[in-house]
Amino acid sequence: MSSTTPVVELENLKVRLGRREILHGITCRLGVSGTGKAVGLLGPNGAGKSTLILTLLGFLRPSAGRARILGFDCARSMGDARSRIGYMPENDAFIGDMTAVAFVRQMAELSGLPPEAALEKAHQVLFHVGLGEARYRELRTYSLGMKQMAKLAQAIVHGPELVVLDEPTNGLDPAARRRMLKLITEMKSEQGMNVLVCSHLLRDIEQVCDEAVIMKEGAIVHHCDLEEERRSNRSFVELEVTGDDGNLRAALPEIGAEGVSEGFGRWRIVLPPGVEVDAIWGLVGRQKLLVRKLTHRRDTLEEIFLKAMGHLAHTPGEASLEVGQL
Amino acid sequence: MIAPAVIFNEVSKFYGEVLGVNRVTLNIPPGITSLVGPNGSGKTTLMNLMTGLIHPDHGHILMRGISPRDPEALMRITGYATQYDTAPRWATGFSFITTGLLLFGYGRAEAEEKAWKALERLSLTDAANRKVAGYSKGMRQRVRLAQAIAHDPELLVLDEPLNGLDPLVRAETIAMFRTWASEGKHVIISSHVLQEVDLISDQVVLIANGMIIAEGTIRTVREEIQEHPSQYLIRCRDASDVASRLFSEDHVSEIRLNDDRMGLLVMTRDREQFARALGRIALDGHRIDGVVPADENVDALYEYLIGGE
Amino acid sequence: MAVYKRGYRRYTGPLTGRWTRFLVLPRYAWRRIYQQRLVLLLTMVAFVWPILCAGFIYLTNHVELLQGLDREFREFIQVDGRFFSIFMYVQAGFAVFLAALAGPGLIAPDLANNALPLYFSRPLTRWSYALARLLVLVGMLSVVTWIPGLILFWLQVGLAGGEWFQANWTLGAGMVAGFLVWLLILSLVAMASSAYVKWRVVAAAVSLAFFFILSGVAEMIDNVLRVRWGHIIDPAWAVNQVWRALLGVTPVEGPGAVASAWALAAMVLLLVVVIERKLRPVEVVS
Repeated sequence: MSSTTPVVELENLKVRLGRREILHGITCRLGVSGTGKAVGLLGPNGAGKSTLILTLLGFLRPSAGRARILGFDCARSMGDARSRIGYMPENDAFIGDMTAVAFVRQMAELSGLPPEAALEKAHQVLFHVGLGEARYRELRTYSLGMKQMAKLAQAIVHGPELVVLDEPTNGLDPAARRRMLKLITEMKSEQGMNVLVCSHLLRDIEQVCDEAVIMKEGAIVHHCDLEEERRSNRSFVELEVTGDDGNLRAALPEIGAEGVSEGFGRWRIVLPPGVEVDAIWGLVGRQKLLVRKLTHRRDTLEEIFLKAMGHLAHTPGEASLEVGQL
Repeated sequence: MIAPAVIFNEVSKFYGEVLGVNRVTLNIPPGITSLVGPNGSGKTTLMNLMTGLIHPDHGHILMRGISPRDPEALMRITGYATQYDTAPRWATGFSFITTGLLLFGYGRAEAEEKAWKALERLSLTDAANRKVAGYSKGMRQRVRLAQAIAHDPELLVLDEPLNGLDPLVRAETIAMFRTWASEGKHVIISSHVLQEVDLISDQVVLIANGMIIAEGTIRTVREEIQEHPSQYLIRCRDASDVASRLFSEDHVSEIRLNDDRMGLLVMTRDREQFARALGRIALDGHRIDGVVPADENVDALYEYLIGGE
Repeated sequence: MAVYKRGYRRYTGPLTGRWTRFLVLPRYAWRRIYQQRLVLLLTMVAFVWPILCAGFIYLTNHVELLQGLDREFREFIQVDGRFFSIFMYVQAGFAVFLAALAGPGLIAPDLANNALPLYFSRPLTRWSYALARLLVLVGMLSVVTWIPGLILFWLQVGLAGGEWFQANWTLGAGMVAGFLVWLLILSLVAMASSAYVKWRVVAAAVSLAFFFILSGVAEMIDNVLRVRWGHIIDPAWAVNQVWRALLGVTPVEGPGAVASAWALAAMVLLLVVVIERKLRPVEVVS
């Protein structure tokens, strides 16, 4: 398998559940396998994200078109593909009367690891996700956060090339969420695994993913490269100042910029090409204001998402978009 | 007339040996209040105490002037949504809410009308006549919320209400909370997504180990934590130069350089002086690409007060 | 370099073959089954009758020892079809209880907390999963049925000689085949009740009840409708007919061995279908 095989490749994929057609002919290529990247899957409920994941895992058959994962056909050749894939389902998934070690070990062996390696890796991975102390206890005694981590452990113990995570931070408290996101980032950057994350939390996806796919009503409405987006956002600035900013709006054209006030000293400013951040510092100094906060727009994904959903999105410097017009 | 408040006075609750909450005192004004804390810290116990599902071993509680020991009066003005997936399997969305309303004593016609309005607010009208068992997770969450708001309560107690909702519905639900908050109602929610808590809450209550760690608006809580200096994240080209300039300022206590040498984390005891110093540095030709106060958010408060891993 | 960075590192070694992987589930399940004290105890008790039978075989083959014994008893311990059919009844009875005890722990824990997607997202088909579970049960039941049976058979051959073998080898084959049919049914019933019922005790009761209820219904049909064929739906009865035919013992009144065999085959098919419905990684609610 060459290094340019996409992680996921869909060709006019249609999937039915019962009588309803859920996915209406999707075509796209996601990720380039072997490069340790993360793809985020977003969309409102009912958009077909779970259906897509289940199809990619081979649990559902396409009614038309094709789906490929790591180059393997999802409807036909999943037998070989599955030892290279790890899956963390959204719902609770565990075997109550097994200890964490026995559980992860059994799953590792089922994925094709030899018994001694399975035992070693089971211990290693349980320490890695933070369940070291509790690994000899039965899974039914675990708290929700611990069960999530155990689910993650069984998904990665066999060192898969691709890990599919469905709502990985669901129900986790802030400390556990931070640890989960850190683990996911490590998985792709240090272990070189590819990750497909499905989540409702835009911030999680933004923090962890390099590519994002937005689905709506059974189709993909947007596919973006987050790295690119972050880099190209240099010309939007969020500014927060202390002091009397009454004249700031009138003064902005001095540096060729325009902006909108959100009250409480918060401003959204657009810089034309060629004008750098230094100009803002100069302007602020002249206005005798102090800078409290200055960033280039960080809500990249939120804005992209809202636009993709066809909602009103107003950015200073752009004409306002009416609903339905994209 | 004093604004109605949610008051807890030295409230303790133990389940045999197991701790629920320990000597909790709260005074929550109307608006959106978020309960934040690790799992097992007592949030659900607090909510159950508020709705009268359990009674305290010690202390007393007043919910907008009504005691939870008077459930008939309290439940009329309270809407409660748990975090558990507990809608009955036989029900359709519509019948679920209507049945609840009938229990309140509304006539059938009025119950159906209110149910329909609640479903509209949560955008569930298309699926209203399907069985709840066939709903997706987000829809089940919404139907529970709809059931909580159907009787126009003044006081909403919601355990992780945004869990499982996609970004659009999230935004709509948050807008709905804001509307109620502005009408003088109490909206008490518990949440683990701290960035959201930051954006939507008027007040926060931080709880850990069954005790209240902090209560109030985010900014006042932060200002009260004197012993921690303020933190700022700075993005700049020549980090080392900027760092040495900042070190010569006497209000700066600690500076950490980013691995990529394009950023700094600065800890300072005086915010205003720091802003002035930064302005001077920028005008002297050092390119400062970004300044972000790193700790005026619930995430940092959580970190300071409750601790991470 | 003396400082080792020891953390979790991805496994990049060789993968095991299909057969090794197939045996993973049986290995784990086997261990779990025998961890239950009751199962171990019952298995041991189930060896009492075979040991007694071994004693009888020894007796029949040593004529000198038979002199002092009662004539009826001497006839009783003749090693023939009837001897083996009694052996089979007793051991089959133990098998029923063993299957009911060990069965529930097989599939119910996997279904109770939605672990099936974890299994099927691995290189494991539904049929391998089901077959692996079946194999464990059949294996455990074999230990108390045809394995001791075969040992007794060879003991007899050893003591009675080649002639006896030539005349009676069908007994051995018939016994093994007969047992296997019964084990298959027992295992499928245990698996089905494990797949549909979460609580072990209830699942065990259901497995047992299956046989008693069908037996009762069969009687009812016979008496109410005044027919003979009611017994065909009673698996214990049907299997008994088949055994009698295989061992050359006179059959009981009622439907013959062939009809019984068809009835059993139908039952097996039904159970397989019923189990298959539960072994899905995704449940579709329409």
